[in-house]
Amino acid sequence: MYTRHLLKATALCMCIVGQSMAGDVTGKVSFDGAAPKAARLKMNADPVCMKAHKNPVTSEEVVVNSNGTLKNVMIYVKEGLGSRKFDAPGQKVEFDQLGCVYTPHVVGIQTGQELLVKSSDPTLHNVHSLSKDNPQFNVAQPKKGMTLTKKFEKPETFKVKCEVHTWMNAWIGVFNHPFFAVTGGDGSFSLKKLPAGDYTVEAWHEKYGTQTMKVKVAATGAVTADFKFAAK
Amino acid sequence: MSLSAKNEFTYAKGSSVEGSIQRGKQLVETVGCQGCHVVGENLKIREARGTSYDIAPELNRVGSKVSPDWAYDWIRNPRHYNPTTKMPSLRLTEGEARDITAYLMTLHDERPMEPVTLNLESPIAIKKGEGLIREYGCNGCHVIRGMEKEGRVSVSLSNFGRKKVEEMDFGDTDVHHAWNDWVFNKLKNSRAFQTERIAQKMPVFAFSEEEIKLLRMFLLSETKDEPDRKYVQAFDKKQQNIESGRRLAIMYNCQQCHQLEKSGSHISANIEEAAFIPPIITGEGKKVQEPWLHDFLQNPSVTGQPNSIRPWIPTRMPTFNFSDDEINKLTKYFLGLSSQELELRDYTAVRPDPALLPVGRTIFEDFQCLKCHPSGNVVARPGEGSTADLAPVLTKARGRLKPEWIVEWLADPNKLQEGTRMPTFWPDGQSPLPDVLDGSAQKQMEAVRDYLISIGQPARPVVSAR
Repeated sequence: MYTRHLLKATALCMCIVGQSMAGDVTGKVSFDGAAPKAARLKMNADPVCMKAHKNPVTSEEVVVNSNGTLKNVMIYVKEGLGSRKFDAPGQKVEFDQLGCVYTPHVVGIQTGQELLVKSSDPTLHNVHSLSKDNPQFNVAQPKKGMTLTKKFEKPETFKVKCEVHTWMNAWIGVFNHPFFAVTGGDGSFSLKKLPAGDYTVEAWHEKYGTQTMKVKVAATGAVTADFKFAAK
Repeated sequence: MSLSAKNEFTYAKGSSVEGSIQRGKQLVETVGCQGCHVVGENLKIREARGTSYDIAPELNRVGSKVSPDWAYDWIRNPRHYNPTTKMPSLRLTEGEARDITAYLMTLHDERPMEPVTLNLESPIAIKKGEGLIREYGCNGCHVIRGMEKEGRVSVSLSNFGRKKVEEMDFGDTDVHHAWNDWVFNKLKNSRAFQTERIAQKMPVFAFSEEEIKLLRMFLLSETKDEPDRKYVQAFDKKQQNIESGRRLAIMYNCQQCHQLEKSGSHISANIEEAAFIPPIITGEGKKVQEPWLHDFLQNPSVTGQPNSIRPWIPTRMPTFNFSDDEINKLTKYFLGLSSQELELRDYTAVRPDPALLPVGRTIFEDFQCLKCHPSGNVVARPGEGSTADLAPVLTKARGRLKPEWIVEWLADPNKLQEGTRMPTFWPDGQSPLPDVLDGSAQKQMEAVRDYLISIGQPARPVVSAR
C-alpha cells in the first residue's frame, strides 16, 4: 500500500513539474510533386446546393496550398504522454454544413469535448459517422439552423458522410489529449505546451496515409518537426 | 425427382441465335450470375465465401461443354430440364437469354486435348462402362436411368463415431493409429490408405483443413447412442419453426446474397456501391406484411425491374419456385427470428387517422423525405451518375410494411438495420418540431406513418386463394 501511494505521489509530482516545463512543437507539411487535379463536385442532385455557389466547387481530398504545402493534414502526439489525463475543454468544436460542404473538412476534438454539428443550409442533410470504436450516429437535419451536440469517449479518426449528398464527407479525429492540430492554408501547425519528454508525433492525411517522427521536447524552447508528403 | 423415361426432355432448336455477346457479358456481370458462378478472372465472391468448393459450377469453359440451344433453355427456365435444381430463374426475357447464351458460348476450353477414338456401339465397352458406374456408385448423386433403385456403394456412417480403431485400415501409412488421425487423413486424401491390394473409390474432395475438422466433428456425433435427456435441447414450437426455415434458407443459399442472422452477403464483395448490396433480411418477419412476403417469395419482382421497390438496382432477386409449404416455413422462420407468430391480420383494414394525416403530410414535406425516396418509377440512369443516393420507393410501403414497424423504423433506423443510410429525424426520442402535436416524437412518427399509408398502393387482402 505504502509503495503504491508513493508511486502515485511521484507521478503527480512529475506531472506538475512537466506542466511547468513545456515546449511547443511547430512545423509545416510540404507537398512533393505535382498537385493532383481536384475533382469537381457535381451538385446537380440538389438545386439548393447548386444555388449556394457561384463558382465550381472542388473536392477537398487533396488541397495543395500556393506555398507548396498540404492542407488538411492532422498532426498529433501518438505516443509519449504515458498515463497522463487531460480534462476536456469547455468550448465546443463547431462542425458546419455550409453550401453542402462540411466545414472544416478535417477537425480534431478531445475525448469528452462537445462537437456542435450545425446546418447552415436550407435543405435536408444527414450526418452519418462511420466510427468504429465510438457508437455511430446518423441524424437528419432537415432545416437550416438545426444543431446537434455529440461527445466521443474513445480516441480514433473516422469519416463522416451525408447520404443525401454523396459528395459530402469529412474526417473527425478524437484524441485523449489536447496536442493535435490540422494544417490550414499555409500548411503550418503547432502543438502547444507539450510537457518535456520524448514523443512520437504522427501526421495523418486522408489520401496519403500517416507518417511518424520522433520528437524530443526540452524543458524550454521550441522544437521543429517538418513533414513531407509526396504525390502518388 | 428425376427425369423419367416417359417425360422426355426436349428443347427448341435454333432458339439461341443472334444474341449480343457484349450485352450478354454485361448481364452476366450485373443480374447476379456471378453471385454463384465464377465467370472470368473475378474471384472476389468465391474468396469472400471462403469455402473450398463453389455452390455452382465455374463457367469459364462452359462453351465447350453445352450446346447453345441447351444453354438457352436452361437459363430461361432451369426447372424445365431438372425440376429439383437449386438454380433459380432470373426471369430473363428471350432477348436477355439469347444475349447471355451468346456470351457463354465464347467461353471455351482452350486446353489441348488428345483426340480419343470411342466405339460407342461396342457391347463389351457398354457392359464394362455400366460395371464401372455401378462400382464407383455414380448413382449415389446422379440420377441414372435404370439405376434408380441401386443402393449406396459405401458403408453407412450412422454409427461411425463409435467405429473402433482396430476396424480402421491404415494401409501402408505411418499415420498414428487413432480415430481422429484416420478420419483427418481420409478426408484430406480419400485415397491415402490405398494399397496394391485394396483400391479405394471415395472421391477426392479437396476440403480445407478447417472444413475437415468440422466434418470430423460431425462424424464423431454420428452414433446410435442415446444421449442423456438433460443434454438434449428440447425445441419448442418457435425453435422448430426457426430451425426448419433456417435449413431451407441454407439449402437455397439465401446468405450468398443476403445478410441473414449476421452472416452471409458474400455477393457484396463484388458490389462497389454499398447501396446496391442486397438487403439484410434478418428482421424481415417484423418488417413486412405476411401476404406481401408470400407473394414476393412466390414471384419476386423487387429488384432490377420496373414497378419494384428499388428498380434502379441491376441485381435481381431470383425466382426460386418455392412450394407453398416452403413459403410457409420461410415465413414462420422470419417471424420466429423476430419473436412473432403467424397470425391472420387484415392489413387492408389499417386506415390513416384523419386527424393525423395532414400533419403527417406536413412533416413528410418538411423533412424532405422525397430527397432520397423517389416518388415515381425510377430506373437506372446510365451516364447521369450513380443512383446510389436513392432510397426505396415509398408508394410500396402501404402494401408491404407492417404499420408498427414503420414507427419503430422512424424512431431508430440503425437499431433495426445496422449501418443503414436512413438517418434518424427524432434523435434520442426528441422531436425537432416542438410546435407540432405537442412536440411528441411518438405522435409525429405515427402521423408520418399514417400519411405513408394514405399514399401507397393498397395492401393485399388477407383472404386469398393460397
